[in-house]
Amino acid sequence: MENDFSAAHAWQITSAEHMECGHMACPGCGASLSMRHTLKILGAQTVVVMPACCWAIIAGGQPTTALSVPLLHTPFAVAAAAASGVRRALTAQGKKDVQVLCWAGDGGTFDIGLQGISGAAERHEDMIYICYDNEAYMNTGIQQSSATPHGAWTTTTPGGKEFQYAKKDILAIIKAHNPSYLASATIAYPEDFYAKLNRAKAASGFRFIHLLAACPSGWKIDSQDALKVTRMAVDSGVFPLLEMDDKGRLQQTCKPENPISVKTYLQAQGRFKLMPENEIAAWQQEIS
Amino acid sequence: MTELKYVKAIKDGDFRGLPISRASTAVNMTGSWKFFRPHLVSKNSPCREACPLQIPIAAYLGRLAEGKPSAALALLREFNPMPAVTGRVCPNFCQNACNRMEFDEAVSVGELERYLGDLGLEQAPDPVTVNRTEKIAIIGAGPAGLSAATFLARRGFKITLFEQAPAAGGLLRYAIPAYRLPRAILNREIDNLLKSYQIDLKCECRIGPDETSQLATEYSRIIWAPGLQSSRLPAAWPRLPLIKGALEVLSAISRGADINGQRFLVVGGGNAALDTARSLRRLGKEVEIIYRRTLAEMPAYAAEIKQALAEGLVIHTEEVIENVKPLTTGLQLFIHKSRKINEQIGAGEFLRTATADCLIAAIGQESDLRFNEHNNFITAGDFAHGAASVAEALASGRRAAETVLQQLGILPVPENITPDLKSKSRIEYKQLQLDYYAKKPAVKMAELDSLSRKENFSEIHQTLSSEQMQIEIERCFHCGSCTACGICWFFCPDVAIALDREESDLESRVLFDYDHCKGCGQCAAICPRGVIEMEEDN
Ligand SMILES: Cc1cc2nc3c(=O)[nH]c(=O)nc-3n(C[C@H](O)[C@H](O)[C@H](O)COP(=O)(O)OP(=O)(O)OC[C@H]3O[C@@H](n4cnc5c(N)ncnc54)[C@H](O)[C@@H]3O)c2cc1C
Ligand SMILES: Cc1ncc(C[n+]2csc(CCOP(=O)(O)OP(=O)(O)O)c2C)c(N)n1
Ligand code: SF4
Ligand code: SF4
Ligand code: SF4
Ligand SMILES: [Mg+2]
Repeated sequence: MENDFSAAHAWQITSAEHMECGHMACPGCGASLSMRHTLKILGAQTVVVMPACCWAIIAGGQPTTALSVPLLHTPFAVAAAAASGVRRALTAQGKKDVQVLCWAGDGGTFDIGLQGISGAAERHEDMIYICYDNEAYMNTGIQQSSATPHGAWTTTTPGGKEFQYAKKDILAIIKAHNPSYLASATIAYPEDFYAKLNRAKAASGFRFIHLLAACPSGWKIDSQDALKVTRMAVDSGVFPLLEMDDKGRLQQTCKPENPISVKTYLQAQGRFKLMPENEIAAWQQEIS
Repeated sequence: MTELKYVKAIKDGDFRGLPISRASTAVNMTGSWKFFRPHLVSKNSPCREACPLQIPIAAYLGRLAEGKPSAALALLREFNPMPAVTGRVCPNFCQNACNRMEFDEAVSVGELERYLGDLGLEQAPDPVTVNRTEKIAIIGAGPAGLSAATFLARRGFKITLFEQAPAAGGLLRYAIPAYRLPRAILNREIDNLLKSYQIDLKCECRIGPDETSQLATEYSRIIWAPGLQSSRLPAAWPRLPLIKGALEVLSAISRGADINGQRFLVVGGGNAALDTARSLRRLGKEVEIIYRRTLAEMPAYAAEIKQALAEGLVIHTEEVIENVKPLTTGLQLFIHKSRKINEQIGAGEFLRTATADCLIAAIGQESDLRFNEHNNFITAGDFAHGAASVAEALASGRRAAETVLQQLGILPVPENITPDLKSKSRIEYKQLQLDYYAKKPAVKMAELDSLSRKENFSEIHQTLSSEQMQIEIERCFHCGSCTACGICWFFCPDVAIALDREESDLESRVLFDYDHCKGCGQCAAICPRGVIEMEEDN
């Protein structure tokens, strides 16, 4: 029961926390909530490796840390490589049961960290790589990344990201590396999130999870709506919850009970205000 | 090659030179960032507002959901002295107002109340001590009288309950049939009340208006709760021995008396008509009902009508009996089509004649008590407000108790036993946040099939098993009452919420760490029960 989420029994989730209060995330940050629960599931025997990203700031300035597990900060491009090293060092010391969690933003995954991830995946490095995707370079002031969806406003796409530049299909890229576990998830669908992280934890080898995590300021939404909007991303089909089955095919794990239109999802956020109707319709077409 | 400084330090086990953070970010008072702060505000659930007894349904079902059935029962009993009875016969005003109706289907509150009521049969209420010198007399041991007695005994009064019948219960015992309310259940529930509350019950003791002044010498206050004991008969009918009132027949059946005759006609469309017809059929009689309006207009509870039809009861609608003539044996009845004249129903064209061994009127009740002068009596139940329901009679008994306390100067007038729901707002369906609930059909009690049940007085419904209860209880949203479910705790990105599941004050079960809460408002947005509100942070 400890790791099963249900509305009536949320309190039964383990009370152990490995992320502390007083961290530096903005109010309503989806990335901080995602980390909190990731560590509840992975537990105290975890080493976190992370590149430059919001989380590198959220974790607190010297001499403080928001994590009660070891956390290694790395330069922007090398998180997966550094995590490979940490993994091998731990294994060399006989600490096989310690999980290595490589935790990076979408910029550090879809763009600048991609070669390191490709290498680690090719070598089947024994780690869980989690990309928390807030769909832009948020830490440096909301610049577009290759995870930014078309139509979205960022400071570098003031009129909205051009329609032909669609979000990279990161799951397809990683899938081509034959990982041992691959899934997309979000904490706004907590049962699914807990089930997937538990399965990733139980597996070994290179495991990759793509988490959608709301950023209230970057998405131009009220902090209180962060979870609701993230849930809408799933309900509209924009962010399907997927998992690779044992035949290597991506399957939808959780079909929304109350599907909504892409438009409803987009209109809930300020960042899509400038998106023209025909592009919204085209996006809807693409999904259905 | 010379070793790097850090590499040498690590090899030597000397980490002092490395930039390692060890202090917790908890030292950062991030709570100072916020403009709004969350806090708990309970709301009225619509089910509670609809309940004549104003039972805090969301809260007591909350305790049941938390796996604390005894605590749930204790809270239920504070408001309802007879849950095993109402759990069986109440038309469930609450369910018709349930927020879950808009989601899928109302929560089976009656079934859950009955589950706890049955538990209570084995766990008598905590005994009270009589610590007041004033004595109170109550006339009539129906639900209204028993309720008044309960609420006064809880305040330390010695109660004497005068009942004209051989046993307490009123219409629960002498009208409602055993297949709906088994007498063993009724007896147990009443015995528990009499014992725990040290009520002195005097049966076969009819008090008339003339005895009032005599009682007044011994008792500080007298409450009249005699109900309405006579069935009305249509004015047009002659007065004949074979024409009877429904209450008379139901009472005879309840007492186990022999019922003469084989073919019966029952006139009326309320619960009394159905109960009489279905009881007589269970005794092997041939019975039909004649009702002057349409099936949809019948005032009987819809569920009862459905069950009666399933048992094969014939109901003639839009017909009236215009005249009755005695035969050497039995009666001849002249049946007409009913005709509406300005909302009144009269006799239209003649349809047919019929014969019956007995004609029963179930068209309403009246009191057999005649008071000469208008006294300032304290009254309760059907006698006070007209024929209604058990829950309303219980609530009315509570109000009568309250009046006694106020008159004796024990309750300051603004403070009542009846809760003041006006101080809190009602929580509407739209204010609930139900993303984390899945649609699920309501759990219903097992029902004896219509063929086997129509020949005996076995109880039709079976109380939920604890497994069934468990499934149903999770369907309740506990609108407006914190259940310490932990959803807010789960979704707080700032680890700024703690739960105190043992705390009984529902507005203190969630503890906010205002030093670290950033006021994001997600907890308020996500609480399924809508009890977290954001207020300006000064
Ligand atoms: C056939 C039938 C079916 C019903 N079914 C339901 C149902 O399913 N659900 C529901 O909620 N309600 C039902 N009701 C209504 C419900 O039973 C009554 O509203 C309720 O019992 C009223 O309670 P009371 O205490 O006011 O009166 P009663 O129950 O009538 O009790 C009054 C008591 O006072 C005693 N009494 C009267 N006069 C004197 C006197 N002078 N001296 C001493 N004692 C006296 C009587 O013997 C009786 O015991 C039904 C009613 C009938 C007739
Ligand atoms: C090589 C390098 N280039 C640029 C930066 C500046 N930088 C730090 S964090 C960051 C944005 C990271 O974006 P993302 O990975 O999406 O994480 P987020 O901040 O959105 O959480 C950038 C550009 C850097 N630290 N190093
Ligand atoms: S869901 Fe529960 S608390 Fe809400 S109205 Fe229905 S029974 Fe009452
Ligand atoms: S989410 Fe649950 S624990 Fe939190 S306030 Fe609402 S009912 Fe209480
Ligand atoms: S979710 Fe946490 S941080 Fe946000 S308002 Fe509630 S207690 Fe405060
Ligand atoms: Mg980002």
